[in-house]
Amino acid sequence: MTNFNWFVDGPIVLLYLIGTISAGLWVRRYIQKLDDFLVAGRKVDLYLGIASLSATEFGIATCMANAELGFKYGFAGITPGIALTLAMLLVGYTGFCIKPLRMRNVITIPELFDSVFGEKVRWASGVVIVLGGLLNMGVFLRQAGDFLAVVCGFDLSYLEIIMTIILAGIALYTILGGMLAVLVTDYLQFVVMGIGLISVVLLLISKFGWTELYLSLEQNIGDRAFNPFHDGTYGLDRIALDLLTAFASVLTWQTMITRVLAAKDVKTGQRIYQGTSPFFLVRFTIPVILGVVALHYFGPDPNVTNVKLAMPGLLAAVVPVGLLGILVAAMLAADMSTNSSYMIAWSSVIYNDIMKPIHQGMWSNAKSIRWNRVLIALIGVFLLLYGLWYPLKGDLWVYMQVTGTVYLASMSVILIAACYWKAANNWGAIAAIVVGSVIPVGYLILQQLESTQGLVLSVGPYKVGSATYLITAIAMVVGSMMKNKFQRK
Amino acid sequence: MTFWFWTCFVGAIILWYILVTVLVGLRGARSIQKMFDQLKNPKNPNGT
Repeated sequence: MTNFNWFVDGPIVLLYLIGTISAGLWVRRYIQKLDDFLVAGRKVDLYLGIASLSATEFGIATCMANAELGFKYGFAGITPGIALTLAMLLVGYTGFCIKPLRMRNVITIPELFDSVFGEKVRWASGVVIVLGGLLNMGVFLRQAGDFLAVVCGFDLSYLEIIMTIILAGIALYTILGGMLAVLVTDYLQFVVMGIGLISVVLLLISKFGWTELYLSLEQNIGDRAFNPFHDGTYGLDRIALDLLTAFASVLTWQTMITRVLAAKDVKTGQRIYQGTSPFFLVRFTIPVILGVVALHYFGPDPNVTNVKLAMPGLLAAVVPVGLLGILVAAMLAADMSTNSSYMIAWSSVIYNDIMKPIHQGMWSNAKSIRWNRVLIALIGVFLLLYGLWYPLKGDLWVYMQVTGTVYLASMSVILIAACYWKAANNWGAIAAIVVGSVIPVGYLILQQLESTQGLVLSVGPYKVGSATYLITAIAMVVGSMMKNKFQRK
Repeated sequence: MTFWFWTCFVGAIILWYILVTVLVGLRGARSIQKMFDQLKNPKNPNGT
């Protein structure tokens, strides 16, 4: 059962959709050059940067994944948020890697690799970035569809139609307005998302009582709900992977780094990171509270077939008419900002780094923008197909970490080497790319095969993830040293 | 002890989120205006 009322909540959602898509379409008149389309002419200042980065990194998939962590692990589920906050604050404060990156005026990270390691490394980096990024983003639509189906009371058989409509709306303004449309809609979405999420969390806490929720966690999960280091809860191997993923994401995740690259100068880029860093605690704390309330409401064995659906099930049943419309608009806002930013981020890498051998940087602005629009449309089609057939197994957050590792491990290692290790060279970079992508992709494939499922589960995703970073770094060092040794001979 | 830690932690985060939503909401609109002024007139880097 849902409280969603099509005559009260429906118009609120419709009004938001019309407003945000119109704003996105309106800015297309300002697109003149490729830089305007991909990095908003590098005119982003502090407040717009914070709004855009925050809105991008909070989507329905993130919210459902983190609510699932709250449902399973209680407050210990906030741990990845603490890791991300520390990483972003440290990188923003010191300018580690992001300073040299922004100073080069590049559009993507592989563009920097071109000047240090050559064109082949740039191309290979583009391929793994797109592969990891698209696999990671592939589950977003299904999560959004699941969420909306439960909260609005759609029949699950309409899931594909809902997903297609959402995607078409997002693709429309991203294709026409590029990064400028993404920034303007991100700002609107940041405000709508803030109002919706804050209202709902305060409502839930006042309705169920903070002390009751705390006691419920103690009863259902025990001490491990409050301590990630407690035996059998989160575990050191998972915390190690959280920290590695956090630092690598902050340094190389294309949707994050785009805000630094679009900033009006180096200092603003660093301040955007510093200012956004506490938002990563919000990104985990708010959904974790929703998960904790869902656990309190349904109990540890909810009558929903899927733990991921406990949070939307709770919201549908508890949030009153009117506020539910604002909440759905807020979650749509969160999702649209994420999808639009991700679409343009991966299309920029495909155009700038993978297609480079074809266009050689010689295409006119009009032709370049046209191709980027085609690429965004193709990414939309991929998302639709992948979102429909990939059967997700295990934690959603773990899936996102593993797919992210496909490029996070190699790109972070190569970026650090490119910025700070003079002996690094293309052999090391290629070795790092191969090792860093083969391990997580192999893990995902073996996880789906019945014959190897048991073995994969016994090792676990956290050890595999952490080992990927370590082995990739070793590959970078060994590869570079080998080339230096052969050249000396 | 643990109860008060998590109460203060969650309270501080919600409070911070409220403040940032208000601040960025108010200042972000001006930032967008400035960005478009600069795009319309690239010779005026301050967007004034």
